[in-house]
Amino acid sequence: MSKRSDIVDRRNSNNLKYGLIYTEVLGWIDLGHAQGTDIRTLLNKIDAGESSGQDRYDVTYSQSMVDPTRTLKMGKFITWRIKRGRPYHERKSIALAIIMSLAMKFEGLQQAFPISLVTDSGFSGEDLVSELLGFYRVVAIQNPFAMLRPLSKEDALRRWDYYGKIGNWKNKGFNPLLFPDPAISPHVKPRIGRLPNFMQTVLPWSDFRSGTVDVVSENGNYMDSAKGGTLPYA
Amino acid sequence: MHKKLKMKGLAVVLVGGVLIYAMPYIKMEFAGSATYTEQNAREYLFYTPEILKKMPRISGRYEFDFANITGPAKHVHVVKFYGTSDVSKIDLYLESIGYKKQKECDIDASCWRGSDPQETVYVGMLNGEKMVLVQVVTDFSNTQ
Repeated sequence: MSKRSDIVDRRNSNNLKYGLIYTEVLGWIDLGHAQGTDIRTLLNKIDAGESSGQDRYDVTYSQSMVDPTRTLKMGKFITWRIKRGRPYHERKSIALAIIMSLAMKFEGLQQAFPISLVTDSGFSGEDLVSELLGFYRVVAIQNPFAMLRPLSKEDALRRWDYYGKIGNWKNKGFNPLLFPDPAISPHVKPRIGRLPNFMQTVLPWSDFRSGTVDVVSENGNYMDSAKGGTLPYA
Repeated sequence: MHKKLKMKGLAVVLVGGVLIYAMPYIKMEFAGSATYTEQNAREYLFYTPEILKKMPRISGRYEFDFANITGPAKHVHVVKFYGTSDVSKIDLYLESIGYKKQKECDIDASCWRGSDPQETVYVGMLNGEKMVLVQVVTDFSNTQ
């Protein structure tokens, strides 16, 4: 759930672990979502499976939310079974498909009752594209911000004030939701943009018939202790 | 009848009182982010982790942020010190509690790690403003 006060200046895109920036290429980016640390963990799990010696190995990925007192962790998980022998480009493709598949389910959870009562975060315009950026920060360019044409804090605040809070604008896909500059043309509306080339270099895995990748858990839910939880997939 | 009304009235007042008392906590519990100072006692006690409560106050002007990141679940607790760029006291404090400065860091800052594998402390500056920023990130997705 992003607020106006979360907006930060473009010069700090690569030294903050949180905050919101506006970029002309990807629209709003939530820096907290765009870190990619969970993606690095997922790729490491796939690498570990490849070197495990097993003919097939299971990989689980989860997304969750944890309350500020760190009492409860609640989220979704999926498990895929992968046939060993995947070259690096296929590992990236499988990882991307896992993330995209789960992110859609998690945003759906946030949009569902009763969580929707307390947050407008489900499918909020910036969430999915920020996570996709996190993926490419891990597999391609660690600091891509110069290419994304981020705005200064003042200009980003002007966009926010013109269009209203980002949580009101839903985006159920991974393409950017852009908010054109109202100073250039009046009566502008948000529109879906196109991903930059560097964010189209990995195609999400889509072959579930050949037996290379099988879905073990398609849509798992869990609730666990936030710290020292016991569920293996949490 | 009169007694019943009185009881009802009392119940309404009681429930209302509990709600009024609990409401700020409910709001804090579900907030995606917050900005507060040490003078905002309720927020300060609710959000601030020990490591930031004990962080040397290297400037008289400082403020705290909290961000709850959902999905790739993380908590980010931050203290911002305005009008300074000297991090030596912060480095000394982190060393004194057993944190080690890492050789590499994923953002433009210094990364520090202690015994908690989920936690990373980032010490850095903000571009364009004279400010030291300490970000404590707890990554809940990194449990395996």
